[in-house]
Amino acid sequence: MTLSLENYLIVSGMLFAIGALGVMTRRNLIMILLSIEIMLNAVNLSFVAFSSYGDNVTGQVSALFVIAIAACEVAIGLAIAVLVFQSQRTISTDAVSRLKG
Amino acid sequence: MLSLISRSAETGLIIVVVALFAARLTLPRLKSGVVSKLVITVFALLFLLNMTLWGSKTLLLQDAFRLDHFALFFKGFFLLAGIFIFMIAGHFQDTLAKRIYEFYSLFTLATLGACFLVSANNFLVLFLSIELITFSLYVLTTYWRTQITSIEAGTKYLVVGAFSSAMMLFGISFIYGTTQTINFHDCRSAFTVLSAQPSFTLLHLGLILVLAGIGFKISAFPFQLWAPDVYQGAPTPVTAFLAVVSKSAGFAALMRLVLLATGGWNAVWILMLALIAAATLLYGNLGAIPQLGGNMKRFLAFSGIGHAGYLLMAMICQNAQGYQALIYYLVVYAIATLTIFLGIVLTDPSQSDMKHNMSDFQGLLARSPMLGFSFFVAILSLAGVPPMAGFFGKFLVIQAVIEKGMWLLALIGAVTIAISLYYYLNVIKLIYADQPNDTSSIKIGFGYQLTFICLNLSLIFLGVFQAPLLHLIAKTI
Repeated sequence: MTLSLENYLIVSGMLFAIGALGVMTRRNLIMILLSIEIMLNAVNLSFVAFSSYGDNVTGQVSALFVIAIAACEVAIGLAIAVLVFQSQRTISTDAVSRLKG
Repeated sequence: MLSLISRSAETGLIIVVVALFAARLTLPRLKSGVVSKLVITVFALLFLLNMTLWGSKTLLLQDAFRLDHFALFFKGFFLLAGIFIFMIAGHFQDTLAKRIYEFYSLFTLATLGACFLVSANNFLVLFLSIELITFSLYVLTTYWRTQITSIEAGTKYLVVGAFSSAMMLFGISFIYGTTQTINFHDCRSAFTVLSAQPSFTLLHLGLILVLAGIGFKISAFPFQLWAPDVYQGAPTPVTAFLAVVSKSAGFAALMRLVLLATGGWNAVWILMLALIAAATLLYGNLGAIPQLGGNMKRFLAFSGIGHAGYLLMAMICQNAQGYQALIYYLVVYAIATLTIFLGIVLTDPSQSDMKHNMSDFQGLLARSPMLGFSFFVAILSLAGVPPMAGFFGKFLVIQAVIEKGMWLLALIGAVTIAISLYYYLNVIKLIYADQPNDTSSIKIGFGYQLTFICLNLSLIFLGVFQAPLLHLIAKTI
């Protein structure tokens, strides 16, 4: 049995949806960051799948850039999570909801 | 080619970042005022250097980097806006104490991202430059780390920003998958072939996701929820950057995308975007009213969302007239907003908490005539009262929309202008007629006074003589 492009895209779409749901429903900052990682990896999967089925290397190069971007994003995200923990003694996003109105 | 690259704004900005880090290691005790003045001077020099490239029209770095009038115009615009934002930040430097170099280099990096963005000629460069802006801004928003509001603003900006950039990237992967290229020019031919068919394809889904990512940057309707909280919590210079550079970079990217990559929209797309523009207009302008008496920066966030609505209206026209109106409006909006933010930081010289409540501005005219008058001119311009430049910007936008026959959208625009007059005039009443809580007069340095005079005069000048700027803008499209 060979895998078609659709199979990869369905997996990628499902991963993206799982990540998006995680960002929207989770209240723990680390979990939100992990969900964002899942979304970015879904993107990587779709880039690489398109690239290998289209016989074109651009997608794989893009995936490399996405990996670098994801690493930066998590580095900044964790730094902010540390700041939240230092001031609130928790990393729940409920602790940072003062700005309203 | 090498001479073009060496003279481009990006090279200069990279050198500034490296120099700032080197200075951090070798000269940690340099006075922060000196650093600020040096960076402002370098930005002014880069602006002049950028203008020497005027007239070149070429593709560099394997077609990834486009140098033309449009890109050069916006780079000059960002560099000038950067100078004013450094002046606003100059008032924040006592709070920063030791971490001044990082603060300035992050601003420079964000400006670098904006400059790359307007030169982007493929989707990967577009995405990477947007990320360069937002990553710098995540850190800058959280920069005042002893204040919980600053941390909260950073957290919210990070979560919403990362989510939208993932969406945008997913969209780019679909565009790449269907067209097998990420180059704007090659995508355009694929779009024209596919948009002839009525069916909804992966390519359309990809484009929607990319537009959603840009919609977050310009705070258009379904993606605007972060703006009030982040504007309020971020340090004031960062809020100014978000309101001016980040927003105009988003609009420049949107224009580039439409002009180069998609080559126009059909009726369904225009209807969708018109709905978004109308919702943005109503949300921003109606949301600003309850903020009267609240926080000044939060109020400006809502009014900024309203202005994004007018800019989107101009965007929808998709003709030279609309783009001309858009760029004119952006320039005028930027001048007025920078004036207001500079006024905000000077009103509160102690910088104790950067809350900037509306009540701090009561009777400002009596405390400092210069500040009172500058607020007067800038707010009238934002409200669109003749003869200020803001009036002409709104006039051009509505005119372009009417000539495209979109009467309903023009009507919503006109109604929201009336609503905005109500809350802007309330702020003017606050500054002119109300009694101040604190009657001490505010002293402004000579440099800042000169800056205010320049900004005010340019707002009035552009309102009376529009032709020179419009002539310049016409060349960029």
